[in-house]
Amino acid sequence: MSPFWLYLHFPSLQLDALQKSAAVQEENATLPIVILDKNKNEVCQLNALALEKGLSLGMGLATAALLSPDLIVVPYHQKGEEKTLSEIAEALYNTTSDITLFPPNGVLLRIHNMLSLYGGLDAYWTALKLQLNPLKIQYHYATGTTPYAARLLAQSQRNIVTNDARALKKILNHIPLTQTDLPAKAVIQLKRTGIEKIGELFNVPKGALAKRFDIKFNQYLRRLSGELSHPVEFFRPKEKFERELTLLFDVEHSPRLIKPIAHLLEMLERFLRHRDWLTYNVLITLHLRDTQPLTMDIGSAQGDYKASAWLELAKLKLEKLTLDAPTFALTLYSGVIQQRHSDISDLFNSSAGALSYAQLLSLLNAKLGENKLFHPEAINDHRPEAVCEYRPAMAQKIELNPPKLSPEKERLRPSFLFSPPRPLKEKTTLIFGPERLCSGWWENKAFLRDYFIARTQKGRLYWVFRTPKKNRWFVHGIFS
Amino acid sequence: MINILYLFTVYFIMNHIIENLINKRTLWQGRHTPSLEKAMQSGYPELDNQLGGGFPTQGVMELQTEIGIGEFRLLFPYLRSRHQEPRMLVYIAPPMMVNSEMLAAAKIDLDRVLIIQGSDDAENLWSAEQCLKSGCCHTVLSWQKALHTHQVKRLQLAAQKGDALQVLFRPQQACINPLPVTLSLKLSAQSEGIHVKVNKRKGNWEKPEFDLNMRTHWPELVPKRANNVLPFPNVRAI
Repeated sequence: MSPFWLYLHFPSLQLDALQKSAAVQEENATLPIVILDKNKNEVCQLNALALEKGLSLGMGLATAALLSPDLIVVPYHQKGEEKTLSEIAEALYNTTSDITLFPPNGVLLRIHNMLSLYGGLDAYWTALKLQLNPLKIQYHYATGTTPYAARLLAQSQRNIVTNDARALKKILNHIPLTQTDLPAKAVIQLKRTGIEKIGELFNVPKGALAKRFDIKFNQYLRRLSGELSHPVEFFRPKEKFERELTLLFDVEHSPRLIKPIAHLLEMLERFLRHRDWLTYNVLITLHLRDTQPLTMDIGSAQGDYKASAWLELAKLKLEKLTLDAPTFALTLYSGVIQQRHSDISDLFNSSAGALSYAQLLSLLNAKLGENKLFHPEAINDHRPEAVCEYRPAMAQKIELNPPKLSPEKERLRPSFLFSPPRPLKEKTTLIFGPERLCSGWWENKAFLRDYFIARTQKGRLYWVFRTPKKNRWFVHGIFS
Repeated sequence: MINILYLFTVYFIMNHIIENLINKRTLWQGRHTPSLEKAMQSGYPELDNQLGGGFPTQGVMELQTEIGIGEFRLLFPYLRSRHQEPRMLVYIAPPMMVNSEMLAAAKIDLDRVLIIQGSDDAENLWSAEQCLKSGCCHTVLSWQKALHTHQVKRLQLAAQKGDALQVLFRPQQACINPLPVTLSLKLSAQSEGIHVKVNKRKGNWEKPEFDLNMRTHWPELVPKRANNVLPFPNVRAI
């Protein structure tokens, strides 16, 4: 099957995202809004109200302001658009596996391999629209036999979904060169020779074009026609959740942040549920005007993915919060993410299994931090100091041979050790021993010790040793 | 006739109140000493007798004791049999290093032993609660000194939820106020083992103090009876 592509072009991505956040804030956006490209000083996106007032694309700021005095002007922010674009890609990933981003405002989908799954182009397109429409973002679309062809058709707002290659070719041939990504200089050059449409350009012998135009021009043309394959890098969904929400109106009272946060948390829930994950903490950064951003770290003991559970916790945090400056944007990050485990529960044991051990461990680790959880480990050695070690509980286990003690020795080890051994200062009576340990001579840490069990007057049982050479006494452990 | 009617009314009202109190568990009836709901043999038959079957398998148990007189050994046979369950044994902030060699020698699976070293009491308590209620730990051992009634109540609830036992090792000096624990034992050293006083056992009468001999489990740790030395008066008689 030859590759087949669908391109989605979002003409007013930033504006749509902004209007959506206004809807989240429950403010009536009844004012004309324009997005202004600062570099060119021209309007690049505008809403329906602005259009009604007589504004149009490409208009300067002065003219726009004259036409509509209550105009809201937002500077164009390419990075923000790119972020929104990757959010769209995340949503589309539910229906399509191969997605390529064309920043700042286009998405290319490879669809021929999806068609057999959905049973035809129409069914696929319906499924895709189900993902797209809830985003409430305007889009133009077109299919094409090459990525560039699909892109060109979508950008020229043809809105066509068909797998009839001949019909597509026909439409493509009629697109004027001014709409392509060819350099403006080359387009003028071609216009002078009477070539204004793509079809006409295709009729020119390739050799002649190669001679007169640079390699980029030729590459674009050959990719457009499909002579040259177009390598694309496919989108991969992120491992971590991070979403930013720019607020249309600044918020000064923290309770009014609940709605936007709830919206972000719902997105988080969708993200986690699709992956069967849960998270132990959520970080919400409030971007404040003219001051440092404020970050709230919300932790959950259980670990959760549900927006409702997180919202309860977020509300508690917000109650304590006072804002020093108005908030203009929110970012929500997921913290420690874990695979969701099904609870191991016994049908007949009613109290069993709220958490699995791994869940408990990650929970403890999330709260207590590094180096607080250990497993004891017995190492195959005769030296008491070397036998007993702690291994971080989160670390992988290295398989070791367990020490083999002779059965008569098994009972004679204390339950707790002093590390390092302490000098013996109390008066004791020896009740058992000696047990001579002589080891370590192979690595220059030779020692010779006689171990005894000693009882203090208070009734404590110590594991003491004597170094025969110097005749000094130490307490090494306690038979607790 | 009126008298009889009056008596009946009083009887019915009283009966109603008493029933109500019993239902709320505020009234304890001495006529039956209910054995602890779930108990597991401690490994010391004498202790089992006194405690009506052994240590509780869930709840909070307080051991008022010095460190090192055999309090851990008192618990050890119980821990060993409890560890047969595929669940964890948790040490929270042990005062010294846990000797893995001893545990390994007793065939305790070390991978199912967790040691938590929280940075303060609050963290340790939180960890204990989480471990208890998680349902994947059978016993949690803590060495926390300062404890409040409400904290112990929370541990009780958590232990009930997760079917686990919380053991608190506390020095006697710290035990001024009684805590709402399931079982409280006061331990003191004794030459052949340990001297036990049952301070409190939920829903039971007080029992006399008793000595516990540890010779069967740890013969080496009990001083040998010097058989060849006779008491002084006997020597004189010869």
